[in-house]
Amino acid sequence: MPTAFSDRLNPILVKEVRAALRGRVFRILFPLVAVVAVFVAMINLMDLNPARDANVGRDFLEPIYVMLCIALLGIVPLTAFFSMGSEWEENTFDLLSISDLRPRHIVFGKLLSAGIEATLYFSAFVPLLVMAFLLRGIDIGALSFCLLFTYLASFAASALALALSSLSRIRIVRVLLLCMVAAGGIGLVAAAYEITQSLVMRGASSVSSRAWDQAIITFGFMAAALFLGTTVACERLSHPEENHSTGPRVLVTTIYASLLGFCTYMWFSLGGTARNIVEPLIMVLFIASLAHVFFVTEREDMTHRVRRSVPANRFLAILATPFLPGGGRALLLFGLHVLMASAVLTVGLVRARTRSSGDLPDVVLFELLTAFAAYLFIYLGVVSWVARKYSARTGARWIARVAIPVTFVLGILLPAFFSFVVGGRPDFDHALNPFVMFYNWSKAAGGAGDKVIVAAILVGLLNLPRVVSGVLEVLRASAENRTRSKATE
Amino acid sequence: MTGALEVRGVTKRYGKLKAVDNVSFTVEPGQIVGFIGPNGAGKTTTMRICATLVYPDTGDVLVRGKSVLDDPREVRKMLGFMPDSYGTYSNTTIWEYLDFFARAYGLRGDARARRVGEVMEFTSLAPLQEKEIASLSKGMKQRLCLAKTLLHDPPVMILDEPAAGLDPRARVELRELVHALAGMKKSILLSSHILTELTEMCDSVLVIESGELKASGALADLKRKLRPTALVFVRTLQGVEATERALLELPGVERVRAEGEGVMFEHQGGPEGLAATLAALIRVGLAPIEFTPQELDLEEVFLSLTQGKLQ
Repeated sequence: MPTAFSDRLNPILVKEVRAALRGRVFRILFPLVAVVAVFVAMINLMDLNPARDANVGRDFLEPIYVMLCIALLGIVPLTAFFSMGSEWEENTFDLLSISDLRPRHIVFGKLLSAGIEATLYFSAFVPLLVMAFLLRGIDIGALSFCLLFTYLASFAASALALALSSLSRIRIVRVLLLCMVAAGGIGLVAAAYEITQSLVMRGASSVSSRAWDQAIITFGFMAAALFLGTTVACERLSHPEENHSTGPRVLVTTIYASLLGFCTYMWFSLGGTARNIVEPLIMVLFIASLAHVFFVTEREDMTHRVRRSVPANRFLAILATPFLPGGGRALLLFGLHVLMASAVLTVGLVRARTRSSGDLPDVVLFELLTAFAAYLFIYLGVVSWVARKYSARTGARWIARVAIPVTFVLGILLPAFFSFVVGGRPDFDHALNPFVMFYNWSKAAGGAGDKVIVAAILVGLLNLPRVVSGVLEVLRASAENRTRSKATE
Repeated sequence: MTGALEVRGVTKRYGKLKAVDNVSFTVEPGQIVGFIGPNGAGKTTTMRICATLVYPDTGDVLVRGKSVLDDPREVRKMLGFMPDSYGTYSNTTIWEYLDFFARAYGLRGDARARRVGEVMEFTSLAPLQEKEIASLSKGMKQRLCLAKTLLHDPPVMILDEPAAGLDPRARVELRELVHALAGMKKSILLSSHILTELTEMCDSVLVIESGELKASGALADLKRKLRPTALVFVRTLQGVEATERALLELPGVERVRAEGEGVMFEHQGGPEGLAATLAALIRVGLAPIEFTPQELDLEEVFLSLTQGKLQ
């Protein structure tokens, strides 16, 4: 490997690949998987009858694809889980912490090495996949889509495995987390098989547009899993005093902006209706909110080291405020993300007027987006407001992070339970149930959006002192740094 | 002039437990300082604070003038930390391990290859560079970890229990390596339970118990502080009683007591006074066959300064 190129590589990636190639697990599993795949293919081939079935390729592909899924969605994430765990077990994490490597280098290095491992497994299956294609009956576009999907799913699953592995060093907890990774792998293999059944096995011509939509939504969830996994893992590996939030915040915002741009591009190129643009925007906002669950529950005050990193320039400090650690400041970042989605919707609607008519009124579409953002804001805002005083404690932060989705579910179930106790039947048509509300909206039947927006404003007022004190803390730190830099000069 | 490592009023609590309580000390350039204390005394916490791994509740640590609070990254560049549980990777050779950490410290290209070669030479690991770490002895793993600590050529080194679990030969080799490092003007703070090792390695010692620094300074100064008078054992051909009688009449002699076949006494006069006492014993007709001033060893210093408190 040329030195200049080698120097640019992530050190963790280099180390992981070297260790994996030397390790028993890969050296046994890789040939084993390849040999079993070839064996299964041969058995399958003997059983095929081209004269009877014109789509021999599909029948041949089926077991091969399942094997590939087991390798990419089962073995690779498990390897990533053990790789992170080995840093605790082999007492090397402290050594990494005092080097120049930052948590994001460690996480991305391990993620990239999972990607390389997936590529190696993938390469073992390429001849068999080509053979399946040559046997006819397979749409190359659909097959490529499925393989890309499986490959990306492997990345997402590895990111989640890394995150789960970083959660605890207690052996019994790690065993439970390992079980979760294994169960998730089985679920993913089943899901990938289902999608492939829809897209490839039934033939591209019979694939409904609904199946494509579902596949695209699944891509969205994979992207969410990737963000969530990397964010959690980076956060868990950071020194409590370090700024472990600005990097993920900038990353999430960049990816969020890219997804918004992608949605807009797809929408323009496909020439969709106005309603079509709201749905992906809501999905992207929802994905980003998974990261916001972590941001809004951070400790409110900045640590000594973070205060020192605040820009001395007052204007830059204000611009940087949403990206600096702290729960209150994270609410500003959420507001920024909502504004970005609204801007994209505005552009979309301006374009939509020239393309289609008979859509829902613009105001209703804006209400739809605003109400969804309000829902997210209520759950993020209320729980993090309650937890703000205890946010310096790690345990309290994690309880708050779990409490946000739990509150979301309880918000749907409790009013229904109450109506069941009072009226004898559960009523899910209430303001705290976003699903029913959006269903009503999509039928142009209106909804409880006004109530939700009012509730969000109240939550905003509740959080206002927290946000203001967050901004003031940044300004104070900026002033301190200005004084310090003047003293140094 | 500031020291290479300055610990200033550092305190660290874990809940109600005060792990480190207002500890201050300085390690000068080229100095080897031993850090001793019972288990749970706060040695490792103090060292981890110096290594930027633990954040102090109050106080600060300066490494060549850079604060662990304000410039942890700068501090890490100047500091080599070898934890008590030195971590190694399985399925990795010695060269791969060092090459990885050299990359992790930002060494690039030829500089990395050269530095890895240098530290392997220094720690005598070069002939074993293709050997897998899993097959190394504890002493070799400890050498490897020391080599890793040296990769970025830090002027200040913190070694937590580097001699733990080593056989006598490996300990001697470690001692030689530490002396060689001090010869390179590196400042070294090292902790150990093997007090005889510290006696031979260190210029001065820090004694810590229950998070408090009980004493610090050169070993000879500490001994002098703890025992201002010289303790001497004397045995003569004339027997215990005659020796006791003679000693009680000599100036500067105190606390005379029989001990086995001889007599133990304390003397305030220093080396000249002791010589005069020996001459006086001979003058009065006694024939000394043993006259041994009793040196305090580090173990006794340690036991005198600490109370074995657990926390």
